[in-house]
Amino acid sequence: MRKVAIVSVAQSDHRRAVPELNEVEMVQPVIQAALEKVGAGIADIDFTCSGSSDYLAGQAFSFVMTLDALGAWPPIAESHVEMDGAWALYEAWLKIQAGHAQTALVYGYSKASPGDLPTGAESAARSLLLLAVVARLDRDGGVAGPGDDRLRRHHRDRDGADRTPQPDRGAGEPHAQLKGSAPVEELLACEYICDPLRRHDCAPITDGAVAVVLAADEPAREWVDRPAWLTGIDHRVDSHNFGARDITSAPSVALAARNAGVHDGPLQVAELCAPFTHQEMILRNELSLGEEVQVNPSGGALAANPIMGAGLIRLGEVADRIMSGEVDRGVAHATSGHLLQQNLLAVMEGDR
Amino acid sequence: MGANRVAVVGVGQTKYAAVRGDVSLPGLLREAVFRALQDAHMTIDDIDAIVVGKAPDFFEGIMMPETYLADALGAVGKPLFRVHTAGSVGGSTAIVAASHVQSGVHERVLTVAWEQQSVSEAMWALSFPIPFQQQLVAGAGGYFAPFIREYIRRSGAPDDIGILVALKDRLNALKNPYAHLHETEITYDSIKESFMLWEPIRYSETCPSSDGAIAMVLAGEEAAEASAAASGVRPAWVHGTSMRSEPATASGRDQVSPLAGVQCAADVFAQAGITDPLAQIDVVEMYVPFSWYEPMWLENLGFAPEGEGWRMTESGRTSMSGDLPVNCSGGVLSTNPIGASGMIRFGEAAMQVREQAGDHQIDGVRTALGHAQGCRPVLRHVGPGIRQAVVVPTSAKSETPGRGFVITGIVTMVVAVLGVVIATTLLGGSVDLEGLSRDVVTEGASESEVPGRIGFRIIEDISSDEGDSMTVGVATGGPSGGLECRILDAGGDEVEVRAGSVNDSFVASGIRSDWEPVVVAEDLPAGSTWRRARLRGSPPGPLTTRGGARFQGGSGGDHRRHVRLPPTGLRDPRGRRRRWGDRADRSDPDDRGPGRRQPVAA
Repeated sequence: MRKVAIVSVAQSDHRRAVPELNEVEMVQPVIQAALEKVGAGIADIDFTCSGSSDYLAGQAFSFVMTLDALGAWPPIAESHVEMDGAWALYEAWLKIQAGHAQTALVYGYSKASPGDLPTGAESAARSLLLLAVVARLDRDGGVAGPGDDRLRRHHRDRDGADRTPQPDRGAGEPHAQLKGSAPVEELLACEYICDPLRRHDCAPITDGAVAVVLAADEPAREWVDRPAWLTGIDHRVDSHNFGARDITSAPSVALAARNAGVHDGPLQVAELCAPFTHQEMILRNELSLGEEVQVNPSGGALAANPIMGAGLIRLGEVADRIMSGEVDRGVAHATSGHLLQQNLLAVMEGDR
Repeated sequence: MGANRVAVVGVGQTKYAAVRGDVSLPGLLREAVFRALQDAHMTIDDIDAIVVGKAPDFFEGIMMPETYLADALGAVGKPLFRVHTAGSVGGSTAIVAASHVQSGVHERVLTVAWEQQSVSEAMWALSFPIPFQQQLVAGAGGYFAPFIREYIRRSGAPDDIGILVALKDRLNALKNPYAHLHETEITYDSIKESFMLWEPIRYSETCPSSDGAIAMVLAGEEAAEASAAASGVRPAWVHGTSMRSEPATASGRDQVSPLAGVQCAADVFAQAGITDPLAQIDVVEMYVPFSWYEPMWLENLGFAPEGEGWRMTESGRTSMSGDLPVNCSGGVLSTNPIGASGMIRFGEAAMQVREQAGDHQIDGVRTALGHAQGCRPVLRHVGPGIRQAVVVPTSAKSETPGRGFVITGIVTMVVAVLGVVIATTLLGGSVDLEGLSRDVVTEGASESEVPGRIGFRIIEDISSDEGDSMTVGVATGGPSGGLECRILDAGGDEVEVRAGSVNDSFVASGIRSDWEPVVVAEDLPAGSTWRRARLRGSPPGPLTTRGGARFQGGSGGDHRRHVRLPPTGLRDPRGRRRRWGDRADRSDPDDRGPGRRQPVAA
């Protein structure tokens, strides 16, 4: 395997709605920022790949528009996945492994605000009702549920966006849409929005974007002092059928974790993409994370959830912490599907 | 560090149709998947990763359908990857699948592309409401038509080149059992008389809307050799892949010949060691959703000089018997499940290399090229980006660059079933040009353009008992079938021709460029007329007629009596074909119009 690292990460300030900008306008500054952090231009990038959803954009082939945000002239080598940007990163990683590229730009974005996500207008698989059914099944299956003590830890994590030290960013630059949290007792006193889900169990609706620069060994060392080396990356899928498997587990997470070598070294941080609280419980179980592992210091998807970008943001958050020297080794997770059935895990390490 | 080698070792296609109501979406995919696995002599258990692709989710109304296909594709516990790059997605998906192997991460990869267009209305799904796009753009054809008009204006191409492409591809489709359209009755005139959708694109020059899927199995060196040993079919090695995108708003974009295509071809040819594409590539499957894109891509991809692509089409060089057969499968013009169309190009190219194309197989294919392209109509006053994907597979391994199989798609089509054969011949003849001379003039060919060759296009009703071929044909003509033309090869031997009848309305394409044939017309009834025969230059040898036949000039007589003029404004009152940019309309004969540009350097 060639050595490949994340060398730059940029995010938008995630918001409930960014009505004044279209996708291109929202993405462009983020791409620009990611490139500028390493002093690169689009001409320095060998391959570009993005993740987004036509359904959220409300237009067929919507992603083609963001070529305008790249300054892709003369034409560039470019691809797109209708998946979270984390999978776009996987494609770019393959291209570098194959020797077809030395550097890559990856981005993911969405504007979910114009649609009606909770009702499933865009996708039934994302409807609140369906997720509530799954959450109930998971709770009844013993995973976790509202009121579960394990959730208390989660709520502490959730407001970490404000409290976690972020020396690499400066205190004034939190990207999270939701910051802080009411006390657990107060949260649990709230009404269900769809039993057993309360509002705090669900990720917010977010408009936002994230961009990442990947580089092979040599350019990575040229660009940054401490690249976040991708030492392992793997993704797997489980059945989507309710009746086909035990949905209180996610075998694909454990499998991908083994293939990515998550436990081949000590973990300090884990960024898990769990837009619903019961999913985080499943992930924690599958990954067997120890108490020493800091989970979702960024606040996770529950603090900001630009669909198609939330997974790539997790990778970016871990990479940022490694590049800043805050941690040496961490794991990031991205997911897709109502049954948490498609999962990607990436392990990153810094030079010591 | 070079990439690992990758080959296509299995191709499976569904029967394509307007509506595949007999299967569910997962069922449709499995039809292709298991044919591909069978071809590769593998089972789903042998597969390490699965890469799927399709065009907009809107077409089936399922957002991110891969999230519910894991079971159907046998993907549980494996990586499942979903690509979407607009119209080029089928090609891009194959390329991403190839990357899975070239990276050394996976050894055996299954890739599937599909579209089930029957559950939606593709044309309007790709049309956005005013004021979010240009006026008068309905569907992709409305978007592309202006670029085609500009191509015609720049190149001075005759106005019926698109008809020839459509006729060739639809006839080729007859040789492809999977093809959606099997139009056994199609003729030059039926295409010409089909209604105009987006000038100059007629109904019969437009891709259909299809349901269907294609799957391929890609393998690394070891797995490919094991598969070949089991199946007895040689692997189609991939010798190059490339993708290029250009943005909607770049100043200086040329949408007639996109720079992205030029660069993509240059890149893939460089990877494959191809320095003379026309000579080194045996067959091409290119993305031609609207007929005129064949000559346009021929130029864009480097098979013809700028402005000359239409001559290759017209002279039949892109027919199955030509020196660069294009879309032997029938192409996108005969089968178009959008998300699959790009991969079908690649799969058909691989089938040619693997000699699995059946009736549309070209003999001796060693290198094939597959090409896919897509773009997006306008939104918010912005034009589309263009995405291109090209793959070159070769049969030989890399030690002999350019001699091998290209993975991306070439297809051959079957002609045998039809009563119509399009034969293009380049005829050497001198002759009796009386009747032809006028056409020579009206075609505007300069005396030196193609010295010594006459291209006849024979329309209608050349039939044959045997399939094919190539060689061109006999045109039997006259209302009563009295005209017979034979083609003689360079040695003076008569090339076997098919019997048939030809009326005066047409001609065809497709010839062997290595011949120096002579056309013999005999038993022509007095008064027989050729609607048109085309002569380029001064033929060196005699073109003889027997039986007192007379070729009548293309502009005389009542030979157009069957032709309903299309509402294109392409004909002037004298019936002469008029072309955009006709020199007669200009004061400066060298000025081909304000839009004429020098080719952009790659």
